[in-house]
Amino acid sequence: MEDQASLKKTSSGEERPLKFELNGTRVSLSILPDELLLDTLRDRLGLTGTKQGCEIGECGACTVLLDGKPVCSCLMLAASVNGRRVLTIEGLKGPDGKLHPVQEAFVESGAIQCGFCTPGMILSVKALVDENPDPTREDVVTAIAGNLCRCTGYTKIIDAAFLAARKMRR
Amino acid sequence: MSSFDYFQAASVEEAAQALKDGEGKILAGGTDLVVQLKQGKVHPRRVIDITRIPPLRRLKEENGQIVLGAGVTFQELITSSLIQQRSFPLVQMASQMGSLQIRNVATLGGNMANGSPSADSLVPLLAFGTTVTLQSTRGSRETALSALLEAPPGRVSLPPDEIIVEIRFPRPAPNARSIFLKLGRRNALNIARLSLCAILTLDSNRRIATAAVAVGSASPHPVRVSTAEKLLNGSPMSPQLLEEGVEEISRSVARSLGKRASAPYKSLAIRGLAREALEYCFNLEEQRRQAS
Repeated sequence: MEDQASLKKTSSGEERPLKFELNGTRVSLSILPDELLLDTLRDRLGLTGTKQGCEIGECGACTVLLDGKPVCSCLMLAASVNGRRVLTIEGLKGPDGKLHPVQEAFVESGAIQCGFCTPGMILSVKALVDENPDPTREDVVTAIAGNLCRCTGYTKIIDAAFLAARKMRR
Repeated sequence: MSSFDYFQAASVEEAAQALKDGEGKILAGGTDLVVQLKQGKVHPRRVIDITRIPPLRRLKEENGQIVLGAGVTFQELITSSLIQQRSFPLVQMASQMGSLQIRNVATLGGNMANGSPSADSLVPLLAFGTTVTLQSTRGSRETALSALLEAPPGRVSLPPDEIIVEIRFPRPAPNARSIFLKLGRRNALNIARLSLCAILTLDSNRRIATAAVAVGSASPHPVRVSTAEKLLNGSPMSPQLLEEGVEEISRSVARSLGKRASAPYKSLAIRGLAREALEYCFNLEEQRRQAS
């Protein structure tokens, strides 16, 4: 509640407090009211795995999971994630540094070429397989429709999604 | 992006108070607003975040009406069993809108307030006969969605201090047949080039009791095609009526297209959409089977 009260007092251009759960850790920092979540992640927190692409919510390179669901961090005001849970690609690996099964699936399927779309693509696939352990091809295609890849032609990414689902079911 | 203040409203009343001077903008999902802020198309003094107001996220059936909070997201429509059972065209519409990233945050209220000629949700909502509840510090009022759309393209008749709170329409009859169709340049993240929603209910003599047809992206705002509805209402379903219905929808849309550059394409394309929709709603093969 204290957070709520202080949120309401800030005026134009003044920094304001922001507290949220980022990759499993509570973070607390100051942000500008017009700051985008993408910029907070990359420029204030140094988490450059989240990519800046089209900036209008069409390419999906900036995808993060907000309370487990994929969203475009380029369309999200940082202030609006106060008290919520954000997962970026940096938060996916295990505590021992081991790759997440979805990351392993992408590597093993050769689903990465230039790598720019990969963080967003992996998070979209993670959200899918978390919710739906046995997706159909249509489920996969729908889940990644908001992530553009200009290298792979998608086939290996779709293969990776199925492999990821199999790994997650094990 | 010009600088603005950010306010997270905990209730509709708080949001209305923050919007009172007309210098604020409502952030419902942000998928349109944040782009407009970035492009310098809007310069609000404050952005009022309404994403944490529980009553705006309601989705229920009440006294024979489907009631949707203005903050219901497109993805919530798709996954709602109530909407799947009672108003499937909204599911068809929502699943063709944007990407999952967009559908997870974009809201019905935001789509409405943005006032785009191709606003996907307005086409089925118009066909369902939607009433909208608006609130400001001056009080609450209800208006027909069609009245809200009496405005230039990209705008709606919404004073700058009013918030869209609730969207409601009568629960469609159990025997209603309805469909939403959309044409675009590609399958995903597609801005509608043309969209259509048709809802038909039958009386006990298998005549059309009520017909609702709405079309989007063919006029400054989505509209009901009342001439086609009049033609269909009260008539027994037949292959000939289907042809006349397709003809009337096409004629009406061609008129509203005027001389815009896309008119030659759209006036042909509407025929295909109208035929597909009416063929589905008439379901003549099933009618024949039942009659024999």
